[in-house]
Amino acid sequence: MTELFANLGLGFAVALTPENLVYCLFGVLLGTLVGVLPGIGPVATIAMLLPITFNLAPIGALIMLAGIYYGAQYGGSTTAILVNLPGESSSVVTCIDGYQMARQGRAGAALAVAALGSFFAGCVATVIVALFSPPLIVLAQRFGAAEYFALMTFGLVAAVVLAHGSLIKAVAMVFLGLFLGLVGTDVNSGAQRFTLGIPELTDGIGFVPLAMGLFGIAEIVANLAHPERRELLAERVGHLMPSRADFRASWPASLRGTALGSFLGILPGGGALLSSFAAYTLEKKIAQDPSRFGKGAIEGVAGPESANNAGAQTSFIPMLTLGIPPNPVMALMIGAMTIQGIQPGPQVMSQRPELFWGMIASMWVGNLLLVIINLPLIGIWVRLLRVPYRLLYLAILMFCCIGVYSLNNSTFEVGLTALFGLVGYVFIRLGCEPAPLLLGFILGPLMEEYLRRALLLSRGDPTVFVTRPISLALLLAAVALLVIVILPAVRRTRDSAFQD
Amino acid sequence: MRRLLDRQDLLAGLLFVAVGAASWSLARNYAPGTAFRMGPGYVPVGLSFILMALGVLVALRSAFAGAQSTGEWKPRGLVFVLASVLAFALLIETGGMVAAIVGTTVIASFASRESRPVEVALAAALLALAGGLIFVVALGLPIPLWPRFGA
Repeated sequence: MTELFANLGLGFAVALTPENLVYCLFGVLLGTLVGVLPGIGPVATIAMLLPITFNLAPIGALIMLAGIYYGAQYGGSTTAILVNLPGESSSVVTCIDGYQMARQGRAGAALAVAALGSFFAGCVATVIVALFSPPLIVLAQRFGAAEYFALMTFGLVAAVVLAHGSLIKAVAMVFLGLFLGLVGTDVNSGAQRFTLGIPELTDGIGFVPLAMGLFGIAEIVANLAHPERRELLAERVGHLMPSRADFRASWPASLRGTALGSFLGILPGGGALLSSFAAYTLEKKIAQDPSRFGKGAIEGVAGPESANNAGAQTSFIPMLTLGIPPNPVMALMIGAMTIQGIQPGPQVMSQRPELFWGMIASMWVGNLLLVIINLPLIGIWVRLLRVPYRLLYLAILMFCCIGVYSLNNSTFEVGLTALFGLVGYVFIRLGCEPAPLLLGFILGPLMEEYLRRALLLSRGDPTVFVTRPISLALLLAAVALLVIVILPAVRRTRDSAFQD
Repeated sequence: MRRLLDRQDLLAGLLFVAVGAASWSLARNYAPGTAFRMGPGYVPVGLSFILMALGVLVALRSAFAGAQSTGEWKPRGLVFVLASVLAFALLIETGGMVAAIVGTTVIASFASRESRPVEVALAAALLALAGGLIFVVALGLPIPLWPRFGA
């Protein structure tokens, strides 16, 4: 326990230096901005900023990028409540009851409950990250090649199970990602694979062009095809202070949302999006009068908004402890660490304690900044919402192009981004989720490496994966997950959870 | 024929099969090795077979599960957005930051039906100013602002 406090003390000493405070503030402000603006999310923003972080100190860069992710969870609710549009995909369910509250003149209460719930969830999630990471790291240090391979298999299965839409298409997307990850030079033999004789591909397909094309460019094209109707409802937000009854109804919902989100965030494939959907379903299930939902039930705002912030933060746990990304944002964080020359994995905590604990402490600092600056700034965010999409997408495109180009000063990568933009748009039309592909892409080269190493050590004996206990447990868990999801009863609830 | 092919899952399945087949045709030339000592071709060949099998499953499913249309394809947004990104790639090294941003913005503006000429001109100028100030002046990225004449 004293060790925990000592560690957190070190973390706060790092996070509270003026320089890092500025990075944190910049990150959460930018996160709120992209959270408020529909049509641009944290994935594209972090991908755009990756090249710039190259010039920053590692800890400042990571604090800033982390702030963008959880800051976006705060910003997303503002747009959901005031405009009935999800500023952020994880705020989709907040639209349902938040907008109804705004129509009843309770926009202020909804915004305050969302912000306070998020803050509470952020504080709890910070403690959970600090408490659970060290023991997991101790476990991870006993991992050999077989265990890592089994763990990544489990991660990919979980990502598929938790993705929405068709299960088998998600599996295929993972394999497509694994395949794309193999492009480039084979580390063991030096052989060129799938490079088609293009010299720029010898180092593999760049992560940033892939992510920016699939998530940034494709999204713009899809948005342009369906022009949105933005009606700014509440000119005046009204009283920010929730009433006594609002408080009584919302704090248990916040508590439940925090617990659910913290748990779902840790799971591979989890994170903010899944947490908010699950929390809304839960609130509706246990409510005494479920018919109130959809008509301005404050629990329908408090639960999901707490859950998405908790989930956003606890999804750092697998990334920080194991070096495995549970969702695309964490994949980008791993990319940012690699750019800085830090190999993500269990050794980060012992080798770079200031980085590890500084980042955790910065999450709490960032949450505090968010709750302090956000409520007074709502007026400014509302004004920004008046910027029409026909101007916004021009700016987004420009930042995407400069971001990709400046990473390696490579026009080839800009062209690759356009290509993946096309691919991403085709995926949208074919109903294929791009997130599993991105995880497969990140994990593909690692999995091949661990598979080869495990089989080399066992002299080609494949039973190595089931004779080592941790590896066996992980593989069994993966099989169990798959079986559970294929069972018809679970399948129905899974479908309904994503439809609500 | 048109309606027969306009099924999300059928097309997605065919796409997976095509990628799997293409990767197999390349990967079969790489040395496979054995499970004990894998060569560069071992994993890729395995992956391409799995990908083809999954593609067949996805395509077959479309025959049983209700087929969902891919919706109306509107090429306008796609064409101009992609063209604007490619224009950036072509312009940035010879034309410099300002020309690249203006070119990208103007081409991209044709992607939306709602664009207005005066607004686009203003946006292009503002974005070029902002992009130049943020990335070249403030962050010091090694990108020229203006075209290199005579280079």
